[in-house]
Amino acid sequence: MLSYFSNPQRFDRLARTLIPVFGSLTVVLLGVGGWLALLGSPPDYQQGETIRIMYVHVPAAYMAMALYAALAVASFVYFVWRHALADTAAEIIAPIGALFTVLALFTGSLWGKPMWGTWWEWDARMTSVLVLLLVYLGYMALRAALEDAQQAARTGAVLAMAGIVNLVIVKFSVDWWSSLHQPASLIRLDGPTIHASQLWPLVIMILAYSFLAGWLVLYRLRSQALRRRARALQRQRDQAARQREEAVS
Amino acid sequence: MLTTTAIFPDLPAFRPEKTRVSGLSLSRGDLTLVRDFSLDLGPGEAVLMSGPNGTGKTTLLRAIAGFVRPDEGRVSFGAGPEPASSADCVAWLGHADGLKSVETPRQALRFWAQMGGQGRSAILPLLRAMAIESLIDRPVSRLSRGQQRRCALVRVALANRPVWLLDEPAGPLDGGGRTRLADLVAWHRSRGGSVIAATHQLLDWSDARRIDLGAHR
Amino acid sequence: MSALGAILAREARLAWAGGGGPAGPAAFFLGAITLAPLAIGPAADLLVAVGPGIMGFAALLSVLQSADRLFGDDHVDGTAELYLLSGVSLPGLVLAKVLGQASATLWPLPVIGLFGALMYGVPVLPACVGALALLAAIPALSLIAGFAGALAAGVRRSGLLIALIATPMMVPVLIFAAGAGRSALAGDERALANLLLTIAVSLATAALAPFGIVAAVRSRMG
Repeated sequence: MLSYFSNPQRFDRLARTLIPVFGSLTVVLLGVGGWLALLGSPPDYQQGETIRIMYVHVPAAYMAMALYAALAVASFVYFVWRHALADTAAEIIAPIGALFTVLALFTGSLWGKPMWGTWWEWDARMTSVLVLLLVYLGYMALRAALEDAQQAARTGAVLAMAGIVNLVIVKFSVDWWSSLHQPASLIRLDGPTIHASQLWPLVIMILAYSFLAGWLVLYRLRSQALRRRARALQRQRDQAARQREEAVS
Repeated sequence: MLTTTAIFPDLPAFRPEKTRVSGLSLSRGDLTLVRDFSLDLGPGEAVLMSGPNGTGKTTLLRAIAGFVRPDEGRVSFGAGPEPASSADCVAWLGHADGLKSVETPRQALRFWAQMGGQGRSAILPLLRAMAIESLIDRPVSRLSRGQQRRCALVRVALANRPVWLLDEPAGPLDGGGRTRLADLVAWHRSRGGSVIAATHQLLDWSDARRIDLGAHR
Repeated sequence: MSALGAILAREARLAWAGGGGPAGPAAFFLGAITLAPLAIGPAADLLVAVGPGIMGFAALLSVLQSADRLFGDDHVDGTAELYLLSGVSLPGLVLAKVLGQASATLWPLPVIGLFGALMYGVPVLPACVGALALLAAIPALSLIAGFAGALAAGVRRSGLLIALIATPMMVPVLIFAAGAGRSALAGDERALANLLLTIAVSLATAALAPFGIVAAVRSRMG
């Protein structure tokens, strides 16, 4: 399936059908999820109305991690099979993932203020998300620093794959680091204790964010591919013109 | 034909290898540098690749050495059933000399002799052949570009490998240096070695095949 | 001497001749632990509490100082291509390079870390544990710095880029190494666990990082 869609025409056709579907699903899910989050769900018995920030924060944190996993997978596909599309996907996912990470950190801080009394608490989860932001920034900085596009692609792939291994160890070590002192954790998503009325808005918002990310990625992938084809055609035309000139002179 | 009084040391014989390049295509981004390039090189032969800057001479040479993966095509060394790897057959001279500025030629060449599992006895004769034996203990940073290049050529010869890939070998060399380079190449070819050199200068090597890369796009 | 031994020796020699040897990381480390109290304030009990942490933090930054040289120089002067063609096992070659440079330039760090901790008022035994943890952390730190340096080889003013790439990867070893010193200071039973975890991370890094570094060097060959 991977090699099937590495063909530019086929991918373009797929993208053209999927993009409006993803877009409309995003709007619908954001609408439903937003309504449920703000109005359709009860306030928390512990945190009151401020629990509602969770419906923005948790999906954002989830997306930040999921997008990095996607980036690592795309990098792996590029590294092994050299699909240019996989590399372009990785390049596009990075800033989107970084934005979700910033959103997660920002909303996490907003949510924590009423609870902790401070704008930041060094608990395991938030610290891990902060490290994730650094990982995204490092990846984007490395790609930006390398002028040769092919080198940027290959080197970025190596870093992304090393990063996913590293993140697993980071998660463990940060948990270990924070386990000595247990600051009040923002959420306790321990399965059975979360109530259905809180679970549903959360799931819908996660789906909404997923389709939003998917829409953004497909949209940018398609425009990037079109831009590249236009440039290649232009270059071919210039080359042909030059060869004609040389033949004449 | 030796036109100078250079005498080359007796190095243990290497196994002469054929180089076969078939259907090599290279691109940088969307720009095709080389399309369907093929080359057969036997022992004792030399190829001079010329072409204006930016025609992909360096990239092609690097692809033959195995540093860059080509889009299409393959490179193989040796005629036997198991093809030899480039690490066994190739001695490389790139744009940069591969020398450390704080090292002396003696230190650098001893290191590379050790890496290749060879003795040191050939170092001084080869330096003499390139007319830089008096600089053996001067740090590379205090050598001129031409002298550094000559030292790098000694390193190539010291490696004692059949196929030489040279990228702009004569770049900073003066007339005397170019003559010694020609002698070095002739000596190598007389032992069964082969040379592929990318150069935009006019090098006068006897019986060298000339390929113009401008025609291969 | 085998080829790998020759590489190790050459790298150590290059670190002394070209990079100033141990002076660079040591001077930086000394500077950092001198500046920290000036920023934190001279309150003795505060300095004791942050001592082990500051030692780990400053050591980490010191290792980054020479990160660009190890693989960056090879990329620029063409030695990388020669290493690739040398026929020597590449992961071994890379490990020998890192070990060569680390053994020449990073040995003062545990020593300065010990005296620095004592200067911050940390008692002798926890200070020794902290220094031991720093020693155990050096393989991990230098290999990660080498990996970042290999990715950014030859990039102009790569210091910031290398720091950005290396920092998330150094988080685990920093947590465990500094944690060993802190646990020894607090007297809780985690000190040994932290020390063992530091050693474990260093061993795992020594097993994995060379392959990553080879991939990084290859990816920059184009």
